[in-house]
Amino acid sequence: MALEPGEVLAIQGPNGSGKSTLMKSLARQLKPSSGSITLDGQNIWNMNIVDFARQVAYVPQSMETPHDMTIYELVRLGRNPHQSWWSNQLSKIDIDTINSALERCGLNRLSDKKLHELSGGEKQRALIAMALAQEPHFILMDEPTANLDFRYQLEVIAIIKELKEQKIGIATILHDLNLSARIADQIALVGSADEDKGAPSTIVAIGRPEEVLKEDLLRSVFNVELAFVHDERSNLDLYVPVSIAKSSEKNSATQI
Amino acid sequence: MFLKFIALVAFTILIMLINLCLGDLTVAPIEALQAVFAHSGSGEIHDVIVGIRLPRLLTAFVVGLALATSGYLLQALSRNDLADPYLTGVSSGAAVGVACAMLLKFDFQTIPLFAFAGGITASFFVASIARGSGQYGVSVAKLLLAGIALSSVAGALITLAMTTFGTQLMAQGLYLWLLGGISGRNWQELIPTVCYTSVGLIVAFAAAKQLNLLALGEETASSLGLNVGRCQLVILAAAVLLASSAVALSGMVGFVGLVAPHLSRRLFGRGVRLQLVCSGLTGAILVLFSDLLARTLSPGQELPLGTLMALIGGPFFIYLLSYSLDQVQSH
Repeated sequence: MALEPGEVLAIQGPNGSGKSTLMKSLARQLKPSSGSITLDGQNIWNMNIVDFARQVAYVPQSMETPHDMTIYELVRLGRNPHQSWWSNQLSKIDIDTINSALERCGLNRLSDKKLHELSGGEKQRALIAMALAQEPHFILMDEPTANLDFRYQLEVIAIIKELKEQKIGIATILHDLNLSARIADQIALVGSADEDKGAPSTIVAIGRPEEVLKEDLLRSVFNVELAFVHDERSNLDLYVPVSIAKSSEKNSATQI
Repeated sequence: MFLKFIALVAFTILIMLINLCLGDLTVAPIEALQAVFAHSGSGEIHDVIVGIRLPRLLTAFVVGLALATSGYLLQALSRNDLADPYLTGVSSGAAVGVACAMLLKFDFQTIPLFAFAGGITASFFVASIARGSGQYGVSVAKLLLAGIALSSVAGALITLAMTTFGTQLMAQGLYLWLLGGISGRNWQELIPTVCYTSVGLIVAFAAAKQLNLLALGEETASSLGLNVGRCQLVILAAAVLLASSAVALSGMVGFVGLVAPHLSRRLFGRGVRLQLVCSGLTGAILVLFSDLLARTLSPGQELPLGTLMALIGGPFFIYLLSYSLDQVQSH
């Protein structure tokens, strides 16, 4: 698996298949027990944590946020990897970067709003703005569209598209096949562990959306029958989950 | 906000002045100040004010400041508003250290170091239990239960050590000290503690930015380039140093580290540097006020400071406990 700047990698797979674990490994939160993750040829665990944070930002699915903190205060913490360890002062560059991060996420008017007063969509954008303040080359997002309604999902997708144009590499977990198909350059499909055979969860397929989002592959990974629809007006291929696949019904029946 | 802060400072000065004036011998404020700053006044007043009340007053101030700051740091580290050096067993660990130092007849310059050794051991023990198997975060229940368990073991160790190795006089002295009191503290005991406390305070202030980052959770803090483990260790050491210095000086005075940060959060908001100053001063006011009560409630006889603080802090803790359990259940 490889990610270039300006590329969007969508990670998909059923619940519990280890997408978040994969994401946390990429984000240097979990140390892999085998294999390695490299950034510009260097193993990320051999890198200084600050150097890593200057290149790779991580947007968790949700975050504990201190009561009373404002969006601006949160986003300015994103400057931490660029500041000396004792200094709290913002330089001109810091301030410009924070403002442009807020602007890109459409938050410049809300910057004094407290985090606990934000809607789900605003909070997600605030987390992305903090990641942008790190001025990273890569951003890793753990389900940025979770718990958001359609409109906010599209907003997040629009931000991702804009970041891609600015040559930032993005890896993101997405559940919605349609969103993935629209923005991803690559899709990695993670399959669940097969406990009967003792096989660990693996990346079943990786490649361009049209290569990965195939009927038989999706059925075997998600155990779901899908319908494929082409919408003339938007010129989009849409994936509609129709029913639970027959084979998996049989499985659960025999287990009972 | 600025006005509130000025009011807090003014109130601290006021209560210090009251502490200086009231007691078995009541002195007019002007006379008291003259005794402190101008070295004048009659012999008796000068002796009482400069020899007894001033060191006692400063001791109360330092103990309150140290315990409150330590409580604030522990709460920030565990991201749990119920953490406090007394409840988490750090104070008990420090008390074991002090008891050892007393038995080995060390002087007051080294006693806080023994207290620190005891306190840091206790804090590692409690932290490793509260952390459990999860990679990040601590469990509130485990933190408090480990604190209780540790406190009873520490109490038993102290009793055992005293009955086995100590003289009766020593045991009596230690018992009085354990109850928590600051009567009879003199300059020789105060000055080393002030040094240790200053180190803790300086570290706490220098780590304000790191505390801000840690408030976002360990995962986010580390993705922002913070070396989480190292930072937590340094801040924990500062918190333990502050609590241990207070224990070495005043024995087991509980709940200051719990009550002061809470009050100050309610009154002054949540900024880290602001909180460090305000909860410190709130703690100082609490201990100064309790000590005033301890000295004046029953004339001619003194109540132990720890007992008074427990009377104030205990119910407050119960209130917080029921409140926070409700919150946990509603989630």
